[in-house]
Amino acid sequence: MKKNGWLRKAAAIGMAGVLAVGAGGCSDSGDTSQGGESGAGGQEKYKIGILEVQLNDESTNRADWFNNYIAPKYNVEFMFSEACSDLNSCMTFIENAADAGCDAIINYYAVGANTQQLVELCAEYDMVYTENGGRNPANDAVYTGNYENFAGNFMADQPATGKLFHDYLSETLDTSVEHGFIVGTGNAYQGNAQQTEISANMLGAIEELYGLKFDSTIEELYSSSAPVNGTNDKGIEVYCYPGAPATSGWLEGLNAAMQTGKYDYILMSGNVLGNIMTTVDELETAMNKDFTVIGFGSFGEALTSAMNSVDHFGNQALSMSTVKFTSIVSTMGFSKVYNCLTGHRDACLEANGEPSVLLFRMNAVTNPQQLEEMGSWDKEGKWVADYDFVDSMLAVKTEGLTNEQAQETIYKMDYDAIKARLN
Amino acid sequence: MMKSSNSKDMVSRAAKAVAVPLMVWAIMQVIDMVFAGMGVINNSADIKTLFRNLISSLAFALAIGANLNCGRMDLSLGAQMYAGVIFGGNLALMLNAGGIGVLILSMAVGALCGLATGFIFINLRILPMVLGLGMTLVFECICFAINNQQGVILYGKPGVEILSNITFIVIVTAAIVLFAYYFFQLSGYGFKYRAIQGSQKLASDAGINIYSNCVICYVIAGTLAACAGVFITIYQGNLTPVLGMSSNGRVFSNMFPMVLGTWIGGLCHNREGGILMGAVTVNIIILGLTKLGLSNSVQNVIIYALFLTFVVYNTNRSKIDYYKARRARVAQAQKLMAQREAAH
Repeated sequence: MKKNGWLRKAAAIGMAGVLAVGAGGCSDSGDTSQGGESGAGGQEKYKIGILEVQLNDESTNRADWFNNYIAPKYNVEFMFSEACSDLNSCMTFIENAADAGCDAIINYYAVGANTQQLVELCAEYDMVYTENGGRNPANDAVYTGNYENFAGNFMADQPATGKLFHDYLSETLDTSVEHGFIVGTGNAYQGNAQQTEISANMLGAIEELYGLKFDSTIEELYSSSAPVNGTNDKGIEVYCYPGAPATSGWLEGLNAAMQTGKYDYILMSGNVLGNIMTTVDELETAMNKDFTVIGFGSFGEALTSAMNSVDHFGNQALSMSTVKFTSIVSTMGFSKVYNCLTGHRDACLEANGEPSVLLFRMNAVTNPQQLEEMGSWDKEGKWVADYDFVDSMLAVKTEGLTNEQAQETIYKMDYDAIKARLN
Repeated sequence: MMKSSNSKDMVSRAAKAVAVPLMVWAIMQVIDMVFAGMGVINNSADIKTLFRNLISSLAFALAIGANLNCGRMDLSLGAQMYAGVIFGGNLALMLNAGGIGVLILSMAVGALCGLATGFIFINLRILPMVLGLGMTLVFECICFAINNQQGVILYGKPGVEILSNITFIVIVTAAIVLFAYYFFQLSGYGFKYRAIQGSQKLASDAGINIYSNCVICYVIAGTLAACAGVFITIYQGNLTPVLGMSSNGRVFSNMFPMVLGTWIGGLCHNREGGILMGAVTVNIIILGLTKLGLSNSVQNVIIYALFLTFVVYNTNRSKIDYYKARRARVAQAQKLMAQREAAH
């Protein structure tokens, strides 16, 4: 009885701990040393909090680059959050980071409606702030509000990402043969910028290549939260299918649409390759019909498996996808806050004095050899963003650096430039 | 004579059990043919989808029922499923154990998770639902911490194709139903389990070890949940860990086959067979709805509205029976009175 009572107390404390950690969502993992200290070689030491939205191979790669490559060279310490997926957990992490002596926050959970609140919170603690997102009506006030601690943002050049799909379809689609298209519009109906651009470009390419006119506008098609037929004057079968695999019944719905036999091109704007390829393969066998899959992707097992698989007809199972180099994206965030911390905020501003949004371009990948080559980059010893590149983005290392120059430097890092340098 | 009556009974019960999914299939077939121009099941891919979803619904419904029938609602089953598949699946992939290895090791880890939950429950007597919530957070966090938060990816892995093989799925489905039927209905454990179901106190007074029985329930539930998870993962291609009690969704989405199956089980006097038919019925509805090209939210509204309607009916069945009996009594009394008046 006595033992039971002790066990109950221990369990109650344990459970309370678990609930506190689980509900808190974020924790600090660094020590409490103050930022701005003078480090080895007289270089000022800074501490930067990295607010992660999800923990995956990309975030692991990012932590590796920050901790093992950047930290020793630039005398910076990094503190990483756990996955934060709401405003409350972001604010908790920022407060923890301030207590731990952080001088800046790089936020990967970008929600336009939260930006101003987080910038103001960081201002209270005298911390610089940047996030992996764009400028939109929800956060426009931050750009015009003269917040001294706001370094601007950084994000993928979404129109350029969408154009990769447009260009690939333009180059490879044989319009003399009748095709049908399922366009997976993902969360474009919720305003997801990336999926909106990719869906719009895919639909735009179909419209241009067949010279057709949809009965609805392209915006109406990708904004629909329910599946919708893209009826048009040329009778080409186009089916816009929104949603994500996490939703119950999504995969079954895609399966049912493919079974109608009207479609042979599966165009996916979301990162769903790991989820749909089994279904595609089974339907190819069951229907004896060749499906061409084109979809957004990122480095990882799913993309590697899909690109290296051969379908029922002996073709490459995945025809085209995309990849990005984490270290380039990380350099953008790092350079933003480092330039502000070292007194070069001008390098983060547009010509009109408003904080800028730095953009990076994703790369298309169309065959296993290319993927293998790119997959071997951006790892320890072969970082795409090496010290030369990082230095060229920091005003303390590149005298007179402007935002335009920084943007040009990023755009120059395309596939050919990286290949020439790393090989 | 007796033997013939028993056979008749068995056939009649089996017919009742099969009638429900058959009727639902017929209705969905007509709806799909009229509105989508295709049937519920059109080719081998549909059969694979149906069977894969069927086995996961069945295993999960049996897992929920194992504890729920004794008054314990284990909300950590979804998280146990994630833990079982992520740990067991990755272990099997590391050992190159193939699809069968993935299944066995996942079920073994699921059993361990069930054992841990059951052991904590009997020692601490925390309310099962509260314990379930706490254990959910623990298992979810553990799943998140391993394999770089990647969960488990089965797509493209060598040797796992067997998990999509219909013959294999049918064998596993039959094995699960037979095991559950023997274990809960025929074995010594099953007799004690049903005694506890009747009255835990009386069972305990009669000398039944209610604690070991409870832990075994949790172990079986964890094993079955992990089994369900393996077939969910092979269909989706991967299983990524979730946080914030999101894994509970798996428990709630499988309540419909469990509740419907228990009702069918009452008709055919075989709970496990009933749950199998319940799982078939619900999956036919889901497959039928997907053919209509409705949005996922509309499909979910229809499914859960049907679930709610069924629960309302099932809960108020006794009232309906009472009104029917009352009307019959009134009619009989009126008839009798009319006869008496006529006699006068």
